[in-house]
Amino acid sequence: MSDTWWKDEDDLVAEQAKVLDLDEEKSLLIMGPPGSGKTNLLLLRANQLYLGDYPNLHIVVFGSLLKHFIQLGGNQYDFPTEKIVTHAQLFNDILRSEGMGVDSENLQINEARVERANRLQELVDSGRVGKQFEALLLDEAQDYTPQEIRLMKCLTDVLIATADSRQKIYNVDDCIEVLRNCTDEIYPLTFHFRNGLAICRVADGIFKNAPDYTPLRTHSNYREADYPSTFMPKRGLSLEEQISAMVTQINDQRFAYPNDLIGILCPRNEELDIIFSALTRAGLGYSITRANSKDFDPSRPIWLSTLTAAKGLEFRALHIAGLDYLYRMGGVQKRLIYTGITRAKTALTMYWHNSIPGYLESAIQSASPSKAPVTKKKIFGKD
Amino acid sequence: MWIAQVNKRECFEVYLGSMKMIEKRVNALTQIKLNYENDILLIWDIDPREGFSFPVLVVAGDDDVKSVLSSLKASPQVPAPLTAISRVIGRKEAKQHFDTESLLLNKSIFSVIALLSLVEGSLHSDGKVGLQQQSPLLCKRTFSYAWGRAIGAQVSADSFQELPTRWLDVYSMLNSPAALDSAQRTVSHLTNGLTLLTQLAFDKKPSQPSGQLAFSILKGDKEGQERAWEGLTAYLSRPMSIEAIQSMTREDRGLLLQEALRALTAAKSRTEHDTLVFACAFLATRLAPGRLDHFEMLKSIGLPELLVWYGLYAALQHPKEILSLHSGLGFRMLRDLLRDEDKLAAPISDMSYLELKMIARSGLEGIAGVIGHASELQIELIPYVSTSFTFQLRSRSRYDERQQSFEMESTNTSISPRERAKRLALELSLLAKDLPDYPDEYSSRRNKATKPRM
Repeated sequence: MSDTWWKDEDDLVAEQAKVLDLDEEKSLLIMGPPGSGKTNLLLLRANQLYLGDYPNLHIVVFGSLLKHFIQLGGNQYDFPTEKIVTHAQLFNDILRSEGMGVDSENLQINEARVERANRLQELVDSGRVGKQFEALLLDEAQDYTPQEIRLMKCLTDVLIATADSRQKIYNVDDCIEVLRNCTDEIYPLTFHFRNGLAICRVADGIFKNAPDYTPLRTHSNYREADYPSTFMPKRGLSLEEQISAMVTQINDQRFAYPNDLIGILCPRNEELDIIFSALTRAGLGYSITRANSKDFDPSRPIWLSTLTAAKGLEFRALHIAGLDYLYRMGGVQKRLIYTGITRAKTALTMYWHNSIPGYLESAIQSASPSKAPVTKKKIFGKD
Repeated sequence: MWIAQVNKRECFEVYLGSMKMIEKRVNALTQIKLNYENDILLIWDIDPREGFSFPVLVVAGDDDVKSVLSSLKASPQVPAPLTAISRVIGRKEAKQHFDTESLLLNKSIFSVIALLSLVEGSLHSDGKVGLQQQSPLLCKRTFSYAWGRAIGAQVSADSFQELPTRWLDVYSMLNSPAALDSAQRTVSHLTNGLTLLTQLAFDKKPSQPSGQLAFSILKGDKEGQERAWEGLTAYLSRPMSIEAIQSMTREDRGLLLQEALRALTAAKSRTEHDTLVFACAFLATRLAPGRLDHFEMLKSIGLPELLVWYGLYAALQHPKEILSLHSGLGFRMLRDLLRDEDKLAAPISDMSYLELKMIARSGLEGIAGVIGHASELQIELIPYVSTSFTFQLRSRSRYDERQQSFEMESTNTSISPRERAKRLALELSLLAKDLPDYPDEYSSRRNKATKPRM
């Protein structure tokens, strides 16, 4: 947590500092790889606008976990943390004020989302709702639908969005083109600061054959000399064994990183439930918290979350367990695990029992020290 | 400036409001000359012949400072505290400030002192106030801050020796004996670190490995750091070079520190203990360079010296990052530490240490009326080194409280119990007459409502 948020301008390299020099009325699309400081820039810009002539603004995030995470760092800015809202809350507040609120209790998340957007569209089209805000600042904008982006543009004078299409983890229509059209300037960020080299290697391995992919390790400004990064694949472990290995390592990590967040991510909630109970039994109950639960306590140092809910977060040390179930995440799984891996700053450990998708196996292999040559005995299972 | 060389009697007359005797001897000069023997030198920042003013500086013989001050204070016509208006110093101290050329200071050490003031603030509160809760106000009440100001003012070596005693002396006047006990330990550990920093400020190479390590960090001398560090690793279970530690992951560095801390808590001799304190402090700075993440963990060990050296090594290695922590509090402290004080300006404190000692003989109650800030007493511990102390009178009588009110009714404080009972009875009977006579019906309804049902 301690260096998640910039403390002074020196942490900004020139390409980021320039953003603060752009005219305040400009709508911007800030694009960059994981850890390039998109969210930090968004918050800085929000602070700049809030202190200037745009106090009526909102920082709009995708989910409530990301909202909590940003609020942790938001305390050091001048705008009230209440300015950070989820997009569902933003839309619903407007709808309620027009007597058209959506009761999402009996709806699936996606159904509620579509319903909110449609009702707001109706209000905008009929002229009942127009510009409500001086500025809206969208984080993780790649996961909004084109309709949602257009609606937000209708609600505000200034639209600032951050996006990275590699981190798009929801199966909705791509909105990048609409984002481009709704903003005045695209601001690309090249360098990233979050991921150590060992972690970059795994992430890069996932998209190594994608033609337009720029490897993370070529633009890393991570302080590898101060904090050598590590990646440890742990295969062949049952979930119980995964937890046992995790506990030992977490105790050492709590000592090494006392002020930093440690993350435990899984593809599915089922494994997370088991891990949560086991860690509680192992004496870590006071340190852990389950993200996206009613008991979520952001002040605790170890966060448990699904890969999906962890978008936008970052952890000094990260454990990704239960990877055998990654297959079940459908078409977005590659981007999902890429997003998960790039949440890690210094230490990444990945656990699975029997098998993981081939692209991930290959990425892990290319990031791990080379193994001894395969022998005939091994091929025939006699080694 | 305007200077007059006077004898004791003439000095008293000036403070009693008369310039007549010395008016012709007041000279406008650009430099203070201290080549006289017995006289007192009075120095003004404005021409006292144009309008009466007290001198801003009084230079007396080294053995006469106390007697001049006590004599001046003896007269009720002289403003009190006198040292809030005029600085009274000895000739030797004056020579240090006005006759000696300033030495070139290595100002990098002020960043470290700024941080030590935060560390000390946390130690004085017995851990109740963490590093994040420190404020400029609390940090300026520390011994480290006073020491830093003393280095900045380039006071004499004698003054440095006096400083811990004087700081603790004032602290003891204003705090409980239990707090003093803890402060004494803290100051003792800090003095070692601060003495080293003073050496570094004047570019003197220390003789001990702990100091040599600090010296080579300041100089950016990697080989020197390795040599000095080697001298501190004797009691580590896995002695290794700084470079080797650097190549380890943070988790492995953490394990190394855990081993070192275990050795420290089991140390069998003073030498082993001290060496391991330095080693653990330095190792802890390598876990999270440029941050103080392990402060709370080290605090739990219960050795203040460990925190002092942790802060010292951390700030020497990454001053910018360390000063930036907690909204840049370190930079704010650095600003105040580096502020130049005009040596020919009037004092800024409430009084000098010497005058406080004189006043304290008859109790501190009278001070409340002369302090410049609520709950804060600012004392010039040694010339040109002022520091603040929390000031709250432990027991103030009700009578005194009343004195502070402008519209206080005169009351007879010596009423006998019998008289008090009589007055009370009279007041009750008058009150009874004023009450309306409620009908029975009303009373019974009220009773019904308030009585619990059976």
